[in-house]
Amino acid sequence: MIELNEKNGAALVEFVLVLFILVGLMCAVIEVTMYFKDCATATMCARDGARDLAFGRTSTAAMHRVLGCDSTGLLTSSNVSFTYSTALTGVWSALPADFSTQNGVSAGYFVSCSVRKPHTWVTGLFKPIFPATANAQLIMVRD
Amino acid sequence: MRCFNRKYSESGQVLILSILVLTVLLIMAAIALDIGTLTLAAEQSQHVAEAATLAGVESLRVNGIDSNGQTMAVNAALAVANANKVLNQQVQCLNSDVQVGQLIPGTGGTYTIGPWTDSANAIGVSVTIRRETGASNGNNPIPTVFARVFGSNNNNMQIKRTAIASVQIYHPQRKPISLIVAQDGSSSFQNEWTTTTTAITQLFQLINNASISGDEAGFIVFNAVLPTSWLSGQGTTFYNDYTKTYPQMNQGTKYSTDTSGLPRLCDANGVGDSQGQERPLTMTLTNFQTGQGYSLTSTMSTGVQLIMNDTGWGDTEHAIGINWAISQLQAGPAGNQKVIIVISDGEPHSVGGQSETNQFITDANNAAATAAADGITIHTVCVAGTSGEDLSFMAGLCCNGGYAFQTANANELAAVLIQIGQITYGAAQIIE
Repeated sequence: MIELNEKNGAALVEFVLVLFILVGLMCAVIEVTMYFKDCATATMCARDGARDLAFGRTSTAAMHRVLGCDSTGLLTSSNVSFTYSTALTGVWSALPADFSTQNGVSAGYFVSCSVRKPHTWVTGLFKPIFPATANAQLIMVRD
Repeated sequence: MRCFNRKYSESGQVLILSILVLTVLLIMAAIALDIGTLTLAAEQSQHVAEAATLAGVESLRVNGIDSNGQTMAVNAALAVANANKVLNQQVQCLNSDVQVGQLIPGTGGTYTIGPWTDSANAIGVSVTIRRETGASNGNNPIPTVFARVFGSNNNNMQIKRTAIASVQIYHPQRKPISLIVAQDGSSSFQNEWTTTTTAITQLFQLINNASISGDEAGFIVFNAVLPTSWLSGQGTTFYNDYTKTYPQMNQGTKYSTDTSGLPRLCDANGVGDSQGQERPLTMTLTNFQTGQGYSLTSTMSTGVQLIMNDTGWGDTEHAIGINWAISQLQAGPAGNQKVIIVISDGEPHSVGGQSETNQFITDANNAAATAAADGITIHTVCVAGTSGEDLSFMAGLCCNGGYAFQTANANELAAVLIQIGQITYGAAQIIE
């Protein structure tokens, strides 16, 4: 006969209740951590891309370097955009065609590298809450 | 039946423990969040600082390292910094956050930016991106999660990241230079008067920036035979203005005075001119200090302003300016390279008729020959404001590697003079 006041299993029930919260918290921490990592990756990619463009490397070479910054393989060329403008307040346009071993942007113009790094989902529990991409952009002057 | 003793019951202890653990975990997560945010902000700030610094250095490379170039570098760095974002907030970099100056090596591979000196071997740009408390420009500290628990310092965290970039500078070695610019002050040069004086001021600024110890520079305005009425009227004021500012005009033996006490021009040897008429001229001569990039002295600026405020008068006798310049250069340091830049309408002319005009040409050629024999370089600039310019005459005055320039547009004069300045002084160059 089982007595109603028997405490056997109470700890298990309590643990299960708390476990959901703990697991949820752990997942959130993991996702946040991964998001920061994605942000850092996007920032680094944007810097490398902008530097390459600023120092005159071709857009192809710059794209290769940007994609190489991402070890997850989630970053594709569709997530990266290179633009330039003659003035900071002017219109930003796609890069002109490469010129020989250099990009087609004239010296003194502004170049920008924008990166939208897709988030590396670990649990996928927070997709409705978390941003799908970590974005970064860096503007530099073409050397 | 078991007796239930609430005092010794273990029910709910896991819940309590879990809440404690949960609290600790939440705090740790908050710390991780804050640290992650700060790390990201720091990284982005560093990248923006580096981008802005490189923009500044690039501007120096393109626009030069003089004071104008340095100002342009600051503006370029500010523009790039303020075009970027940190944590999705537009950066607002202040003028005081950008430094351009001498690169000073520190210990452990660190560098700082110090006041600029012309002898520096490297010029650097430093840009600081900051998110700090009390910033009036919108660079607010970064909002945090965990720090709020402690309620410290507006619950926000401060970030400051600095980047420094530099370029090496090549200093061409040269001897000290004594340079005198002789400007036509004749009435036929009236239209170019202000433009010319402004261009000369810009040249002097360039000389300031490129000067080394022992450099000196002067400024002469010359014309020619003047009517006595002018001398006793406007000419008196004209002369007195300059003598008041430049007492050295009354010194030496190169001037004599007529019966009215007005200056009478002599040639380089102190001999009165062949026409025996009064020929006032004005001059300034300032020794540049020891190559520290001094701006034009206030005295000299005042003198330039005086000249700009005056009116061209009389005819053009180049010999007056050249001879006076020669006499000044001969009185200067013997070891200096000596240079004269003659700027005129290229029209030797006298109201005394063709014979006197011919005498003007002869006098000028003789003066140029004297300069050539003394090792003085003469550059000429003909600003063709009238149709009577004589380019071959102007070219004939050049000697010892001097160039003859001609422009129909007085507004191009500044570029011409700066070109002569670079030929003469050899602008400090950035090593590519």
